[in-house]
Amino acid sequence: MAKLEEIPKETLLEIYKRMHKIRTYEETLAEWYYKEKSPRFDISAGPIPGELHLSSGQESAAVGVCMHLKPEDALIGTHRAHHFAIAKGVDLKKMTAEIFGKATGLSGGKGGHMHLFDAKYNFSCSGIVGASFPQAVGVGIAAKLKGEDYVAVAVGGDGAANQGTFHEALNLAAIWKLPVIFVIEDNSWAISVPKEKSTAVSKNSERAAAYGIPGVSVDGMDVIAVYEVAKEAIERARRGEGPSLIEIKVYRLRGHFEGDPQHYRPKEDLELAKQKDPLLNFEKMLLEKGIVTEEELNKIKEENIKEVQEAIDFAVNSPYPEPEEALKGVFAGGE
Amino acid sequence: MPRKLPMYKAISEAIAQEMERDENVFVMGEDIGAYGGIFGATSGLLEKFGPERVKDTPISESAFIGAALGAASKGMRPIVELMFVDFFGVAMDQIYNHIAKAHYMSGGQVKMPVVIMTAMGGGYSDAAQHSQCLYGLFAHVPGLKIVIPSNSYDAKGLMISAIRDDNPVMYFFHKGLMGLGWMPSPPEAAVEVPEEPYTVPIGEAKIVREGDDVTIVAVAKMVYEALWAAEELEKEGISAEVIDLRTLVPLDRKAILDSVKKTGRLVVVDEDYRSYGMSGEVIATVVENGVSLEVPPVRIAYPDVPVPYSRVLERYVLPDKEKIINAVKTII
Amino acid sequence: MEVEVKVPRISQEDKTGVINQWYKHDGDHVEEGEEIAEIMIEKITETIRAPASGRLKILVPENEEIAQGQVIALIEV
Repeated sequence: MAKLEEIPKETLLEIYKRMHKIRTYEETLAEWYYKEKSPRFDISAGPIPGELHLSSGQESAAVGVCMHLKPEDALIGTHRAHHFAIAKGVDLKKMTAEIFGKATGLSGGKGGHMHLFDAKYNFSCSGIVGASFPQAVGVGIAAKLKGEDYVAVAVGGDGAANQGTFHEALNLAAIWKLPVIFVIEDNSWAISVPKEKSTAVSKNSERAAAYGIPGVSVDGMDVIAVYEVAKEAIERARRGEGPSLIEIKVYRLRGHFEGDPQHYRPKEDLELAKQKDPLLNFEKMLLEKGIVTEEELNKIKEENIKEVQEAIDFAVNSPYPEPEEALKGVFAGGE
Repeated sequence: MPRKLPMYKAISEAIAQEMERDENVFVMGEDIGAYGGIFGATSGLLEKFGPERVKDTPISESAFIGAALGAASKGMRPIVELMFVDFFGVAMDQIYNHIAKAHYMSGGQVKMPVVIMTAMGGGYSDAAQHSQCLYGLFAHVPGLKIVIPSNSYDAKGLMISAIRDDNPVMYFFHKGLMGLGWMPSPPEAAVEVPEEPYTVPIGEAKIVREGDDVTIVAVAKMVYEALWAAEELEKEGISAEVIDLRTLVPLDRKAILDSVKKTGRLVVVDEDYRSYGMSGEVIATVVENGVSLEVPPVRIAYPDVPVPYSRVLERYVLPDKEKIINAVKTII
Repeated sequence: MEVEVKVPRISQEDKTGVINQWYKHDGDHVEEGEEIAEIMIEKITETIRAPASGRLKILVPENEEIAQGQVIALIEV
């Protein structure tokens, strides 16, 4: 496995930039989410109504994988997908406007936070657990039939690995040798149910053996380790050698959704998550090894803060859709 | 002694009392144990009955809903919760091909005392995969009883009836009626609930407001929109009768027919999709029975579009008091 | 003697909440274990039971912000 020093500095800075942008975005969005929801938490109130699942603490999974993806590669995410969207290159302004329910959003306000679609970057996500895996198989079929070299990445949480779709899709991708990478983002919790009470094996990567494909488990605390593992799997898929399964061990820094008091979660687990912060860890590594200076990092941070603020401003200042728009667009080719 | 209870507590109380009465009753589902159910319908059960009878499941709906069938075939009375009705697609086969049909296909050898409990309804911007009602989809399949309480009294009584029924019962609760504090809920939904166990019969509608000029048929949250509309209409001299169906299967057709014979006008309010659903069934009931209406019936239903995310879009399509008032005025 | 009625620790973080409803009025007699209030912290509603029997003295009204561990009522025993 490549050492930090062997990776070009601009790549390392890009990894840092994307991770920090995600964190900045999620924490800023959280502030907006709680507007008009205090002291009483009212899910329908405020500029961002509905559920909100944030990805703070899981940045390494998204960035480590997406660094190797081109716009034509498909990424299919979950209900918690902002980090993958940002890492994949989805337009931050349009994405934010969508989350604020505005006409300028990716889907004009019809999709929302759990249903982000950006066809330009081949990004999509879903509110149904385990939905991504078969869909990625289909992208793999298309690549093979068309003779094109794009790959598909399906993301699911550790909870999603207990869905039938996961097992059916792995088998399909394996028998047809499709260019698909299955990513299990293991944050140990399916809402309130801990992995050890829901999953018969300690590592979901072991399940790859059942389908005769490579399965690797990697510590998401170390984004470079994720970067290396993803690189190998994605290159393998591009070479036509078939699917892989990657399990990335991450820690959920926030609740399942905003407003989740996490009363089911042992205090030590949340403390552990704070210690396993991949962003802080990477920052520390870069500085300790003398690869970057504080000034360089500060410059990136400032740029990210500015970009996130511009996205929020764009969303806040955008108009809401015309109500009648609700009735349009059920079918293609007309209204 | 009766006391005012929010719906979520009335449901968990009903389950707890049945679990105490009958050791064959147990509960399975996602986040129904330590969390107490995302909408509180199983709150306090884990503490009372322990993890053997209150089982938090993996996200494996085909498996745990299918398992309810196996358990029921051995005389257990499982209650399974699937957090949102929108999620049922992943386990549909076990429900509509097996649980619903086992009694019939086995020539009556197998009984299916299963309760499938789920949350439905929108109005809070949870978008296309977390806001649907879909009861029409399940009511369409023979073999499933469908109950939909609109207040805490009915919620407790219908849950006890559902558990004691030897058939599969799908128990839908509207998120916006549960009285959770964090989800807007009309205060009228939290009514007085007796402490002792009691049943509300499955298959009986309830006239929640009497009137002479028009019949408004609704379920769940739409019952309140209809009642609020009726109050406004009364100020203008229009007397509306409001029927809370409470059960879709079996449907209390007599209650609908009796009311419509009296009023001669019919408005059906449905938060589920408009086509091929509850609203059509109610109107067909009237037509098939030859009840002549003074004017064609009207449905205020969810137009046939997925639930949009943005607040302005969702409000535009969601049936409400104003839409009901306008509809009634067009036929009077 | 006065027994304190405290908001239990529900959230892992120092989140505040509200009193949804007092089931009892100020000055009512309450029995130990009886449900006296419903509070909400983020998405969790929790019933508060009387820690002792006696006369209830409500300190925080409905819909007012509360912190975890805060004393919201006293019971004069």
